[in-house]
Amino acid sequence: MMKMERKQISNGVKPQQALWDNYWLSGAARYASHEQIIERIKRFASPGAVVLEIGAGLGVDILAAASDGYEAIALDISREALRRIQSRAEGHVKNLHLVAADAVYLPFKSDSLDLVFHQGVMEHFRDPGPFVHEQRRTIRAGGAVIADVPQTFTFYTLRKMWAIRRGKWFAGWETQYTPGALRKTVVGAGFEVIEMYGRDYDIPLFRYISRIERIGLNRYGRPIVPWIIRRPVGRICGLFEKTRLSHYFRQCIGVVGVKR
Amino acid sequence: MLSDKLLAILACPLCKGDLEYDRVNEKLICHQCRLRFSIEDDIPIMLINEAEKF
Repeated sequence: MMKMERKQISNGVKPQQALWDNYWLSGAARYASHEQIIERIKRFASPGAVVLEIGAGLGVDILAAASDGYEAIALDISREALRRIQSRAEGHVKNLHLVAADAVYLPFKSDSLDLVFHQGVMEHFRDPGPFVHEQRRTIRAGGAVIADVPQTFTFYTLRKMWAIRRGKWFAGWETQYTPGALRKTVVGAGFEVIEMYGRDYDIPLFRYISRIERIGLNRYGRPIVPWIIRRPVGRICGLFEKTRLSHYFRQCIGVVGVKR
Repeated sequence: MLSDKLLAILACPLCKGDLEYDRVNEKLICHQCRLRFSIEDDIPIMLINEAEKF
């Protein structure tokens, strides 16, 4: 594992900037691109379209969008995050643009973007109103927004609330959304909700089975969980995921809204 | 050097008005708000708190 440099940033920067600069410099965050988001970008925007990721962080999703031929803009309040995305792209992606900005003050003309998405960002705003309204302003008529946030009814929420109470949460404070609250936030900014989705399970049994499953497929090229467990669990998950109720059991939920 | 595609859609984060691109000094200027935004390694720093007043 690569040892990341730890550099504390403080003077002359807003606390939010310093928080996220230090977070991305620490190298604590590691995650792969989110297929549920990538798939929706492809569905709601054609290659060549201008796609913005707000709070790009590691930039895995926006780099995937750039590779898929979109005019991809990675926006983050942390230039440390952007520098890392830049070094990862290394000029391979010509249609990738980087912008340091505050998500509530987007530096784009009105109606100039085809699609805006954010994952794990909106929960950091105490008032999401101005944040989502800025997205509506910059998206063109017919353009879409994808908002992806942590879901309320999870063990993650309990762990997080406990950590916030003790002052040990990395971001200081953070909220979470029920499917209804997420829909209401996006509708409140004037978007029409096209679809809602859930991703990843917070239920330990399902999570461990899918993790073991992935190890089996990666290492041996075949499932290692016995079919007597795999089949019923897979079938239950499949049926369950078709229902709206399943969103209340997911780790994260997302919404796709269109500006009319 | 910022790409033309990005320049075409960039606006002042405060007044949302047009920006002037100063290629020599690598700055983006909003004449209305009298703010100058710097560009570091091709990354426009559009943070209002870091913009230079003139």
